[in-house]
Amino acid sequence: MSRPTINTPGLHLLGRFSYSSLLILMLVCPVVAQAQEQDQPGSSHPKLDNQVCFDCHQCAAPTANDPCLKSCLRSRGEHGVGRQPSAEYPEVIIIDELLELYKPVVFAHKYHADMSKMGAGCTECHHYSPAGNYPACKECHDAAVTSLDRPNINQPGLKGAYHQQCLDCHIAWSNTTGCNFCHLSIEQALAGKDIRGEGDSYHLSQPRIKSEARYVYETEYEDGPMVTFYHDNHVDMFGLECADCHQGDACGSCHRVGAIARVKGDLHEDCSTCHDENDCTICHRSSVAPAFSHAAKSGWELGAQHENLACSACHNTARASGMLSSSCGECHQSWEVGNFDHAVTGLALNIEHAELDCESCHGDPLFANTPICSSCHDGDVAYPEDVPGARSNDN
Amino acid sequence: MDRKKFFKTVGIAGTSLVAMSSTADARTRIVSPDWMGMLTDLSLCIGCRKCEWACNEANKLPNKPIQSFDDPSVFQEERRTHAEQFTVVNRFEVDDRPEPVFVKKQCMHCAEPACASACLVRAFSKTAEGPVLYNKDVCIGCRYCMIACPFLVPTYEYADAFSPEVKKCTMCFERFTQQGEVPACAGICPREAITFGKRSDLLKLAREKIRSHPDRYVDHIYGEHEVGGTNWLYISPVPFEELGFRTDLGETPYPEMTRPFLSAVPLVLSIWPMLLMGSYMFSKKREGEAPSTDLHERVDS
Ligand code: SF4
Ligand code: SF4
Repeated sequence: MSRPTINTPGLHLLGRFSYSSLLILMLVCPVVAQAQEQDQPGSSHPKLDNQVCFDCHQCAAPTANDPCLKSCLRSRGEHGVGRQPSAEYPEVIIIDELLELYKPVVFAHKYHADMSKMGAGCTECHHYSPAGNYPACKECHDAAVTSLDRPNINQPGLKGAYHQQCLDCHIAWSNTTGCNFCHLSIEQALAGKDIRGEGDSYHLSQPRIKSEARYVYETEYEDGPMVTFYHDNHVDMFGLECADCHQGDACGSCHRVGAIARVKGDLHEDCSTCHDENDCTICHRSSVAPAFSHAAKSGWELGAQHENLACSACHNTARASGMLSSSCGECHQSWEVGNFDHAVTGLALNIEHAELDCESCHGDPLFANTPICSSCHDGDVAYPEDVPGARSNDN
Repeated sequence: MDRKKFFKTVGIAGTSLVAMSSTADARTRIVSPDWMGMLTDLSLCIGCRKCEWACNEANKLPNKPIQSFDDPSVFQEERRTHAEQFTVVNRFEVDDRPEPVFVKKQCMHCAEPACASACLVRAFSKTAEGPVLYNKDVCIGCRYCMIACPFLVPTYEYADAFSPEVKKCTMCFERFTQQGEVPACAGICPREAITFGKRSDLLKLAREKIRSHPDRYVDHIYGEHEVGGTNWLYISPVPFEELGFRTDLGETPYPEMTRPFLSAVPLVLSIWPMLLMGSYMFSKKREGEAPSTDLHERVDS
């Protein structure tokens, strides 16, 4: 009777990295490692002194131009850190290698990559990867999980790799092992639900993070015990990224309903990245502070045109209190006849007026004062009784 | 058979039983490097029970739609394997651990199976490939195997009035010897909590996992030595006694312990099945079928 075998490294030696090949290589390696050390004492790998060359490289003489790095590196100590620039990583990955019982998973790679900034970066999932090179799971994990030909039982197959990696976090905060958390069942798919078609469908059943708009803290600081923190202002208006404040916390601290996530470290330290630490009254008040209001803060009310802009659209300093003058031209330097649609102000100019320079009517750079008609017209014409065009209703 | 002849037969059988038990100590323990086995990593199991579903499918046992296996209410009580379910997953809440531990149970495929040695007609055999298999054609229904098994695994088809069999996990013997596929539970397990491979490789893998993740596992491979070793191995994040595993079984193979017991069973009890078997084989022969003998190469015992 032919005996089933699983470890048949000979078959895989040529094609792909296998454990046996690593073993053989490691036997040869110390010699090479020594040679390398002699050639380049204390060279570019200061943190890797416990490793041998073939842990990472697949050729005997790696060079800077051709480092011949293994794609399925399984290093013993250090492994890659850092991130690829966001443009280079895929936004969405459809995982459909293993389709027996369930439909593909639409994996929101970019969301996860962004979230990983709160942890160890790409290596949070792409473990054992050489720095700067993060191969897809299937590069190293074999899809043939049910076959006896699987080259290496010491490493999870592709299905195991996905489920071990994803569920490690997902179970911890969702407390469910239901497959439909990530997959649609064939039945659901047949019933017409196409996970790729629905707008923001990447999330499927994953709950969106629900943070409170406002948190009120009572502190022991006598002169101002109440600290009011508007989370929504910071995220939506000030445009902070999660990782700017949250670091090293479990996924469930944000995703679990009612969870309160911690911030990086000391609150004073974190907040003073933007706020002046020496002015306690910025945060500490005797009562609950109102939400941010540009008018109250600066005296300049944001009109319809400005209120949806991120602070950074106008203020380019980290501390938004970098004051701007109220001259429109400070930002809108390029406005001139022909490229400004006056209708956005609620008044569409007629053809005679549309060709005039701004200054012809607006004598001051604030554009806030009443336009002057008398520079051209006799005294019988005056704004707002007379308008140089038509009022539009949409504003 | 007349009275005189009967007693003569009984006498011979009795002597041979005594002879068998006296050779027991001379047995050498055989743990083959080629045996296939399974390694269940309890730190990975999430209790999804897909293995139960796949086992039912593979063994043509009564089954339900796969979605219904998501229902966690079955975990309210600890379940046992039975004739219509060769594997069950139980949940254990463990002190100081936020998440429960799930334990898949099935036949351990002992290196020296108590079921096989208790069986008077050799209906159970340890194959050269590792699994312990049952041959329904020679079974006489005495159910000694059920009493002998330290893991309470083999069960009887009480519901079947005509040709009841003893049923248990086969480690999907046909599947891996003939179809080139891993056992059904190992194939479906989403987290690959179950690994199929050579027992010797699995032991290496288990040791390496424990060595490299001392925070994740207790330093114990269940089945490495228990009852003389089993082909199904487990590693676990918590001590096995907290998960319903018997840790009082010792390392002596059960056959070595059950043999004196069996020889002490009143003669008439032990001889009765033999007589039945005799008449069974006789009747089979008369029907013109050769009684099926060993299906598989047997590790000599
Ligand atoms: S676990 Fe029980 S049924 Fe399975 S081989 Fe061991 S003694 Fe026999
Ligand atoms: S299929 Fe795997 S993870 Fe699911 S219950 Fe069975 S052993 Fe555990």
